[in-house]
Amino acid sequence: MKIVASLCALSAIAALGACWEDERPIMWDRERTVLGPIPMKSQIAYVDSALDRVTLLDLGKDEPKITTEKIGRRAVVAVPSPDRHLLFVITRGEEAIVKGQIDQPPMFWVVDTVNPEAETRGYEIGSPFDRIAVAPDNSMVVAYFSAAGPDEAGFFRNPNELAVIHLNEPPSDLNPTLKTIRSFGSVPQGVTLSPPMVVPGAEDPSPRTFAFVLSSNNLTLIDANNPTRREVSVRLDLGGQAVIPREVVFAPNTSSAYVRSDNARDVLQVLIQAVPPETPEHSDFKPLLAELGAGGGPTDIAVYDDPSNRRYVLASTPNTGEIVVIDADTAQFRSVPVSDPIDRILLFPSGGGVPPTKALFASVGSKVTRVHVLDLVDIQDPLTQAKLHTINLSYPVRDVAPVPGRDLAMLVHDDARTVLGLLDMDTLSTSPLLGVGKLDSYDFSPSGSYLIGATDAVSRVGFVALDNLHPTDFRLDDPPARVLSTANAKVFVDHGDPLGHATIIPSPTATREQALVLTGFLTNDLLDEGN
Amino acid sequence: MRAVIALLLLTGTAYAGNNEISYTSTNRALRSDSANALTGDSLFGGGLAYGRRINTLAGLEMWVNGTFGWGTASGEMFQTMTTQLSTLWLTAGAQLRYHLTERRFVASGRLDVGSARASLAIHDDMGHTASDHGWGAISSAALGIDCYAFAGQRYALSFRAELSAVATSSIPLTATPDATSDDTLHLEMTAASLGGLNLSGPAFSVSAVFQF
Repeated sequence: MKIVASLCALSAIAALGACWEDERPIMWDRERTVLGPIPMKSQIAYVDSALDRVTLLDLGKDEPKITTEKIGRRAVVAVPSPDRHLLFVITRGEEAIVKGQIDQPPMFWVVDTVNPEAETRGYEIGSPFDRIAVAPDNSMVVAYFSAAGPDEAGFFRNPNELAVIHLNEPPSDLNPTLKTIRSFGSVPQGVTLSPPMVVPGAEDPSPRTFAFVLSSNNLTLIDANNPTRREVSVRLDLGGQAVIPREVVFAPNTSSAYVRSDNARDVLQVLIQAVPPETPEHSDFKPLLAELGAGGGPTDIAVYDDPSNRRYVLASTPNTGEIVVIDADTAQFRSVPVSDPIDRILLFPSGGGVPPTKALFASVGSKVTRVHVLDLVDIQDPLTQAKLHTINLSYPVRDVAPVPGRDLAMLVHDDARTVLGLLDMDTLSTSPLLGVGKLDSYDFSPSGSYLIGATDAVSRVGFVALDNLHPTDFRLDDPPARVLSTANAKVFVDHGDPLGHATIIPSPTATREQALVLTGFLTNDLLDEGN
Repeated sequence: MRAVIALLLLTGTAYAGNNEISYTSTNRALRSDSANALTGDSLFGGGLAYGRRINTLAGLEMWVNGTFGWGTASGEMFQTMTTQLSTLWLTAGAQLRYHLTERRFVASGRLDVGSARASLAIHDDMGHTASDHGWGAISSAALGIDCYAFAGQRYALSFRAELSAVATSSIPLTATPDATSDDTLHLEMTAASLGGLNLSGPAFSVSAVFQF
C-alpha cells in the first residue's frame, strides 16, 4: 500500500512539473514605438506606445528628475502646445480580441508638464485620428485624419471626420464634438486654427477660434467655439488644375486670414464678417473673399504689420518673376522684380514682437546661389525706390532659418556636409562655417546666442557663438541622434537608445565635468510597471 | 525498462551514511510581475548541495543542507528587446525525512534560507546593451520524495523529486550601458532604476543524490 501511495505521489509531482508554464501578460509582447524627444518648457517628453505612458525629464534643476504619466493604449501622435506647457497625445486604443487585451476607445490626452499636480485628462474622440491642430491660445484643438486617412482597423472609415475639443471644459457628451465636414470629393490635408478673432457685427462679441480645413479645391471654415453649427465651404478651383491650399496666416485684429495655394493665381484673403443665422444650426458668419493681386501663383507668403499697424502681405510669385507687397486693407500692391524662383520668405527682426524692417528671400527648392534682402521701411510708398539687395554666395542655399532674437539668418548650403553661412541682416555680410559632416540636427539656444549642431556620425556637439562666430565643440561618449535646447538653456543630446540614453550639457559653455549622461529613463521602473 | 524497475524494487535499505551530495536540475516558474516583464520562460538551472544527517528521532531523520544553485532565463520585450536573466544562490537549511518503505522510498520536507544574486542584461535590435546585478534574500520550502536506485551499507544512490515554493526579496536593478574597456574618459553617468526584480515562484526539481 505504501508503495502504491509513493508511486502516486511521485507521479503527481512529475505531473505538476510538466504543467509549469506561466502565463505572461500580453503587454510585454506589444509593439513599441517611442515618440520623442519632444522639447517642452524645461522638460523633455517621450511617449511610449507599449508602456502607455509619457516620460518627462525635468531639466529645471541640476539633477534631472524623471516622472511618468499614464495614458491610453497605443499612442500614435504627440504634439506640444505652442507655449510648450501642455503635451497632447492621441492614443489609438485597443480592441480586446485575445486574453489580456482591453477594450479602450481612441482617446485624446492632455498632459500638463509644468504643473505636476494637475491630473492627466483624457477625452474620448471616437475615431483614431492621427493629426492634431492646436489653437495658438491653447484653448482648443482639432483632431483629424492625415491625408493617408484612417488606419486599416474598423469597418467604415470617414476621412472627413474631425473632433473639436475644448480644452477648458471637461470631457462630456458635447466635448469633444465630432463633425464631418462637407466634402466635394477631397479629404483634409491640414487644419490650421486661428487665434481668437472677433466677428465684426456679430451678436456674440466674444473672440472665437476658427478652424481652417485645407483640402484640394476646398477651404472649409468651422466656428470652433460653436462646432455644432454648420461649416462654411469655399470652393477654390477654377476648373483647371486642382488648387491645393498650403498655408494660412492670420490677421486677428481685422478678423481675416490669408491663404496661399498651389496652382492659385493670387493670395486669397478671407475676411470674416457677421450674417444673421437662418437657424440656430447655421453659422453667424460668412467669409468675404478677395484675391490679392500676387498675380502669378505665390510660392510663399508672409504677413506683417508696419509701425502704424497697417497690414501687409509679402508674396513671392516666380511665374511673374516678382516679389509682391500687398496692402491687405486696400489690396493695392507693389511689385519688385526678382528673377529667382523664390520659395522662402523670412522677416527680420523675427518673432513678431516688433515690426519687421527687412525680408529675406531665398530659392531653396532651386538651390540658387544667391539670396535677396528687401528693405521694408517705407516700402508702401510708391515714390520711394524699393531697396532690394542681392547677396551672391559661394554655394547653393538648401535651407534658411532665422536665429531667434537676432538679426541673423542661418543659410544651410550643403546637406551632405555641414557648410553654413550666417547672414547678418544689418550689414548684409555672410560668414561661412565648415563642419565635419551632415548637419542632422540643430537648434539655437533660447537667447539666440549659440547655434548647436550635431551629426549622427560624429560623437560631438558643435557650438557656434553667434556674437563672434567662435566655434567650439563638446566631445560626447556616444553618437548623437538629436540635439535640443531647453527653455532654461540646457542642451539635451538624445542618443537614440530605446532604453533611454541622453547627455545633458548645462550650457553651451559647460565643460565635460559639468555634463551628465542619463541612461535608462525610458525603462524607468519598468519592472514595477505590472504591479 | 524492466531491468530498471527490477533494480529499483530489489535494491536494499537506505541507511548508507550520514553525508550526501546531490546534483539538482531545477525549473522555477517565474510568476511575479517584474519577472513577467522580462521573460515568459521559467528559470531553468541546477544546483550542488551537501547534506549531513544530524539526528534520527521516532523514525524521522534530521538533515542540514547547504546549497549552491544557479538558473537562467531569456526572453523578449516589445518584440525588439531581448533579455537575459541569470541568478545564483547560496542557501542553508534543514530537512526532515521519513522512510515510507523500508528499502526504497523516502518522503522529505525542507526549509532553506540564503542569499541570491540576480543579473540582467537587456539588448535591443540596434546593438545597445544595458545590464546590472544585485543581491537579495531567498527562502524556499520543499516537499519531496526520494527513490533509491542503490543502497548499500556504505553508499547509496537515489533520485529525488521535489516541489518547492521559492520566495525572493525584490532585488533593485539599475541597468547601465556596458562600459568600454579602454582608457577613454567618460562623462559622469546617472542611470534610472529599472525597479525591483522578484524571482519568486514554484519550482520543480529532480536530483541525483549520493550518500556516503
